[in-house]
Amino acid sequence: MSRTASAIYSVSEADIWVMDTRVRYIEEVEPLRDIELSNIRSVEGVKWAVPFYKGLSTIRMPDGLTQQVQLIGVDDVSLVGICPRMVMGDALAIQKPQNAMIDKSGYAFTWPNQKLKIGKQIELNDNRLIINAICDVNPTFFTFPIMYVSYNTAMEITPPSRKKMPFVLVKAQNELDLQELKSRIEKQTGLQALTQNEFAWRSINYILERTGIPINFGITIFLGVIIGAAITAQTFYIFIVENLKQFAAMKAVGVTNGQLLKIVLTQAGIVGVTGYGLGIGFTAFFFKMTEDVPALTGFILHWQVVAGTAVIITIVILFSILFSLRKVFTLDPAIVFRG
Amino acid sequence: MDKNLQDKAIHIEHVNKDFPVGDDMVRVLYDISIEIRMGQLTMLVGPSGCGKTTLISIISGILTATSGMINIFGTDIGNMKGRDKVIFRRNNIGFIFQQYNLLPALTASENAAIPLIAAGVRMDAATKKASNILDDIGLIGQTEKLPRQLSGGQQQRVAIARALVHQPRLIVCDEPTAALDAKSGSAVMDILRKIANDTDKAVLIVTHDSRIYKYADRILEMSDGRIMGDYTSEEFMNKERE
Repeated sequence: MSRTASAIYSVSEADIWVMDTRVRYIEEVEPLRDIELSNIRSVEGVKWAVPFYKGLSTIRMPDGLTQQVQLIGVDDVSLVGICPRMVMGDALAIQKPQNAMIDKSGYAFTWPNQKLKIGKQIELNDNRLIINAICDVNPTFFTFPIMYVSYNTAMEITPPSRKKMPFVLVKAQNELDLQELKSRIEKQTGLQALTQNEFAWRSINYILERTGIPINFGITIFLGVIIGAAITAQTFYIFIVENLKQFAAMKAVGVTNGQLLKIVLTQAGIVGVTGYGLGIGFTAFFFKMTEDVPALTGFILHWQVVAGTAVIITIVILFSILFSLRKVFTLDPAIVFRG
Repeated sequence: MDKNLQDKAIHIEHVNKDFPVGDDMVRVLYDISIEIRMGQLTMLVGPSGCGKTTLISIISGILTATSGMINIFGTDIGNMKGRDKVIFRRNNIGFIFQQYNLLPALTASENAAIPLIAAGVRMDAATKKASNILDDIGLIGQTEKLPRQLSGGQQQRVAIARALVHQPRLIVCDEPTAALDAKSGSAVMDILRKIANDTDKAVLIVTHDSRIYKYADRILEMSDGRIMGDYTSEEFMNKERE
């Protein structure tokens, strides 16, 4: 989910995002009139306000192949919203006409198996662009390459329209309460103003509520737990049934049900910890090995996932033990004398 | 304790046992009364299904009789409840089974140490004691082997060590030589005979194996849930020959 909001968190300089009232998440663009930028700048408490363009475009390469990209246009002078981690070239390059910057993963996606190199030429809506800088961005929800240009360049190379400005980024004057400034902007302009965190969570919640992604993930996790529990319970059950005579012999020689429970819990604990360690280890190894694969970049093993998995595995093991041990607890040790 | 009971290992009177079969109850033991003294090796013989296994299960506190008195070493175990019975078994009875029933993941000494570990003895002390007993019964150098690395006779000796390690006074054996060749069977019976010579112990063996009758002090013959005869080993072997 952090991918959904990474485009918002990447813009660290601004306190408030201003947008049309109908915008529900970062990928939904309802352009504003250019005059709104001046209106926002006139609100008391605004230190600065700059336009920020974000939209999908299609680039064409010299060999004629096309590729969809996320085009981001940042303020020509301040470059607020520009990618902060440079890999090659200089971010200031995009201040020049027809210059652009692409993210490292997007470069690899667009030109597979090619070394990073600045100077590549592309075409966007019949405009020539030169890739004069390469940067490293946090992975976003869509895996399209991210192309940075200046705001003015973005206005020139995107199709003409009466309204083209999707967002305005605002910095509050020192020590001014952001909620207060938000209210002032909304009251004075009739637009929607959200803090960085509010906009990020609104975007995440939109994805959670309005797409099938959480349901698909939820079903996958649910099925994983159910199938895992069933297999574990069945494996334990088979282990118990195959060793019933041994359990009966132990009961006959004076091992109590409590002691048998301890034995099985110890065995289950060892198996569980080993399996859990291997599973988490392989997952972490997979993430480490694929950190440079564009489609998989940014997967993080949060401690909450590690802890949650441990809890689920513990529940599955306890369920399996209870399911299987009932047979041992009610076992008649006299069966040990039967042939 | 009643002076009369002092040298009696087993004293049971009028024991009956019924098992449910469908809606009915089927009687498998009829009015069994026997006394077995300490220092005796007693065999229970008879055809399959005559009730031998049910009788030793009741004597060893694994099954509960439908009626009758069961007194083992002066303790009436017929009225004992679950955990008390388990602890009584743990302290007083050693078991040797036909199929050994050793735990495959444990070594010989660990298998033999199970009753001590169950009684709360520390693992290292329990396995040390078990190793000593394994050495005594001829398994020198085999104590760290897993059951699958031992022959049938050696596995049965591990089972004997398991039955002896907690120094029980009654050893109950179910067909201890059935799965063994003649040589291994003799070795096992020599050990059991030696145990039975101890005036503080008694050995009760269920068997079909005529090769081992000579080791018995006394042979009880069962048929259809009843004790049909009480013989010395010579008497029984002569009867069998006739």
